[in-house]
Amino acid sequence: MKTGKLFLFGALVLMFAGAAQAQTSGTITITGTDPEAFSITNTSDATLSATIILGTLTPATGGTLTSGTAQIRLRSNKAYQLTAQATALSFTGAGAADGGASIALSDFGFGIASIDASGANVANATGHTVVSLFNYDPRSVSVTNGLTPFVPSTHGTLDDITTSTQILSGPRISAQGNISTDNNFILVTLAVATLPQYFTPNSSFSTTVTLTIASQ
Amino acid sequence: MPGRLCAQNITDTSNGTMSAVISFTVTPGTSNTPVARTVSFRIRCADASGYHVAASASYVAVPGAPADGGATIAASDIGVGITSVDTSSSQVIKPRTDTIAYGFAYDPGAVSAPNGLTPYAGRAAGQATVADLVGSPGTTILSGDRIAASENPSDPDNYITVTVTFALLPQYFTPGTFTVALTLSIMNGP
Repeated sequence: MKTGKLFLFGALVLMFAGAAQAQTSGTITITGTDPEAFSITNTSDATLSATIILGTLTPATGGTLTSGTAQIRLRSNKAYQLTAQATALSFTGAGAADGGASIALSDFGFGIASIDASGANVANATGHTVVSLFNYDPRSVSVTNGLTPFVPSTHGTLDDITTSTQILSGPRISAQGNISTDNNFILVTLAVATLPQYFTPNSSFSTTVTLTIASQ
Repeated sequence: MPGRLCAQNITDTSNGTMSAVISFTVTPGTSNTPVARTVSFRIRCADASGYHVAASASYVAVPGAPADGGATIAASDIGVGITSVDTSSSQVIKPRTDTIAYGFAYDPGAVSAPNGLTPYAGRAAGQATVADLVGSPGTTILSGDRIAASENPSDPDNYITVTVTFALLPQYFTPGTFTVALTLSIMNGP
């Protein structure tokens, strides 16, 4: 009787020892983070660094504006806002004003001429809202009497973005895809225009507009 | 019963408990090459009927912002394949046949993603994803002959090393997090 109990105990030990060695399953845990993501690129999906060359601004008769455009692609996975900021005009070879006017940031109309949100992987085709001051095409403003036609508080100019200023906002842009996807962005056309006048002579002038997209 | 339990083993590459963790940060870029992570593990089997490895998975995505008309990353965006079966250990019985199940015999990290979108077509089309394991728990992904005379995990030369690759293409998915819990089991028989 005593021997039988010992045998049973020994058998249990062997069984548990055997089971403890077995490791017939394992786990793999995959974790991931989708961060908020926003991008501005040129139309080749590369870093945006566009130059608008207005050329030589020689005054003439009539009201033909000298203009240029830049197209940018915006992508985001949540609601966004686009801001713009222009640096002060930089001149080289500036002559004496001699009582006259020199060209200024306020002589350059600046607006968003169009937004194309027609891509198949655009999450929201509507709802992209241009701040009213910049919601126009400065190339189409009528000139009167050969003077700068942009009306303060009505027509946005570069003088309105000397500090970081929101010009556009909207809902999520990209349904999916990455920066090389050809249909998950909105195409924004920015326009600049000015009227050549008898401004103080210079060899050249320039300003840099920095665009920034961020979360609303 | 104890004998059957002892006939197979699945361990990490240090012969310890297999409990691997891998992570992805899904920041969209311009590349059309998916981001890949690999996990290697060892399997042992001394059962004359051979073995098979089965996989099951659960998937949870937790958005941190509204989807707002866009896509949230899904289990079908994560490709999974067996990219290596190393049978070179000296006690592994040879010649032998180890078969990767159809759909898992590919490298999801090497699939090109045209137009920056998820490139995986699913198991039925030869490119399995985690969604295939969520939808069909206990899917056999690998099977083969008896591996060695012993399945003892302390033996340095009686195992096959299997490498599984997971990959995804970072995109403008809804901000948030996701988690996949994948369980691998080794059992007797083909």
